[in-house]
Amino acid sequence: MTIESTPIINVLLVEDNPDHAELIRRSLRNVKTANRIFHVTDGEDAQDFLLHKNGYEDTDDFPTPHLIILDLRLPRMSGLEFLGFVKNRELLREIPVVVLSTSKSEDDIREAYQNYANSYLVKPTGFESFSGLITDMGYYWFKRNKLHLE
Amino acid sequence: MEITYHKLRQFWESAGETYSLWSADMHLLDFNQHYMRTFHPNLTRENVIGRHVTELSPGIEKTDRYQRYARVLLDKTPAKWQEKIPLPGKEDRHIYINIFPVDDNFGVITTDVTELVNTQKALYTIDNRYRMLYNNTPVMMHSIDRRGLITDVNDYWLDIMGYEREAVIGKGIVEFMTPESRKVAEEISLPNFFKTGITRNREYRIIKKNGEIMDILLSAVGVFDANLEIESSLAFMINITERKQFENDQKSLIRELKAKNAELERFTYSVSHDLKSPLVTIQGFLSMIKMDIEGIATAQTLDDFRRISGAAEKMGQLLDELLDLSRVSRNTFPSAKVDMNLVLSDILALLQGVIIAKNPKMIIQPNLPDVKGDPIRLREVFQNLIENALKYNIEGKEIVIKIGFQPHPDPEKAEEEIVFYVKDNGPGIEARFHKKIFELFEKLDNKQKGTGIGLALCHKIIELHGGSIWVESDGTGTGATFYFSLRKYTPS
Repeated sequence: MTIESTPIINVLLVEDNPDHAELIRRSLRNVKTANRIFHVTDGEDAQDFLLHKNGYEDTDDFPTPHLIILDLRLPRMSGLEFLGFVKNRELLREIPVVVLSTSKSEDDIREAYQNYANSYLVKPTGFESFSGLITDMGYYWFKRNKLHLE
Repeated sequence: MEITYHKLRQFWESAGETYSLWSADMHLLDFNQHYMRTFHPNLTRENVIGRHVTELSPGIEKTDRYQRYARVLLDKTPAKWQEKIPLPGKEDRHIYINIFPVDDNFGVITTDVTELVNTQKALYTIDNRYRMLYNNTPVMMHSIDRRGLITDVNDYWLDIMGYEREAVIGKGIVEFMTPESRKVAEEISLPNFFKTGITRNREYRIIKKNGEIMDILLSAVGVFDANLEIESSLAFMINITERKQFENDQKSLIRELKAKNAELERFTYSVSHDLKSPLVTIQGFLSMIKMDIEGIATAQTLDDFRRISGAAEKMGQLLDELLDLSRVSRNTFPSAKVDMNLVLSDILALLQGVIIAKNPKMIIQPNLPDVKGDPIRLREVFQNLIENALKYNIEGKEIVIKIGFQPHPDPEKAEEEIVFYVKDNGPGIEARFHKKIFELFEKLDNKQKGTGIGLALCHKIIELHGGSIWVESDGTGTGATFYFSLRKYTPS
């Protein structure tokens, strides 16, 4: 049996609701991969993170993420705007963006994909567990799916 | 050439007037052919010559004409006049009579001027009619000359503007306009009009005597003089103040509606994002706690969890359905072709789980007709009704659900619309609730887990499709039948 050395997966979590962020963090622990989660709470902050400015200059402390988990409803700069920014940038557009929203609205879903979202997940309000969804997502993106890790 | 008696006689006989010569005591001495044709077409020359005027025209002695003849004879002075005389075989004719002494006798020349009189009359009538039309048409009319001065206005113009005619004639038309309109008239419209001779539907604002401002639409045509120069105008003005007011009201209504819609959009957005967020948190952490205390929690605790989670779930369902309801209103009278058989088979596939669990007897009429509508919305209607039929049933009794179609009961609508129904054998609905159940948040049974939005949604969807929805039930224990009508799809 060989132990594969898996590189650390860096995840940028853009989520203004601290409760949801906490739920996501805890759920991703279940996936049991080496991952670092960088949490920012609005679109502008997320933009600064990716551009390495306004406090995010250090690329070791704040590396370019391999995956972005994005809430749509954000203060200052909306999730859609941020998505548009990412997907219009030569060096950033290859980063998969998973939209995670409370909205099931067809309009929101369509707009997200029109802005090149890579996935759209609806935060469950019902009996289906939120953590189950996040675990599944983590399992898919970190384990099943091959991310481009340089 | 010397005029011979013969020539003169020829001239006399050929004339288109009647010539007659009478003795002083009014016996006919001589006359031309036209006289015979006109006054005695059925007699011969021998019959009339030498006869007294009262024999030739019985009753003439009672007429004014006779008196005038007598006066001419007495005064020996000529006279001319026109009068209406009945002629044999003809209606009354207008005759111009010229009577003059000839030695001791007197001559009479008559000319038939009926045509001329009729033409004059007609002209007079036309002019009169034109004046009447000009004055009484409920459209403001005026004329201006090349200097822009008013030469004529109609009564209606004066009525509306509140002026006397004297105060208007000779004034410049622009004096009755607001400064903005005056500028347009002086710089653009009037110069243009005197070039082209036409103005069509130009909007102006004019000022009444009482200071009120009126929006009008002015059209004018040029009246040309002998040199084909525009001499004056004939202008018509229509009061469009109300129309303008209406347009402005409509504009502001549309603005308001747009603002309201935008607000509603924001509200909807907020509901779908912000209001649902706390529910995600509640459910998320509930399941976290549940995992943490797995194995140590009491049955009581687990039941409490179920209640909290159930409440949050219900809240989420309410929000989803409210959102759905708010989205439905966007599309009115959708008219795509909808295959209702397809709609129904989709629903049955979707509800397969419940159907297997409840094992109802489903009687479905084949070949449902096509309708006009939005297939996704119509699926919601059918689905809601079938789900209800599955949900509301009598314990221990086999569920029987019948689905089909029938003609519209209203003969006036039967041509255009078709009615679908979903019939169950459940507890039924009391007559007093038959209307109420389609209202928002109305639930008859609190034990059921519905939100009270389903039938309201059906109602709204069917309404927006131009149809109607209703329920028939004899009350408790007899089942209920839900009907909804839709516009038939007829390939054109």
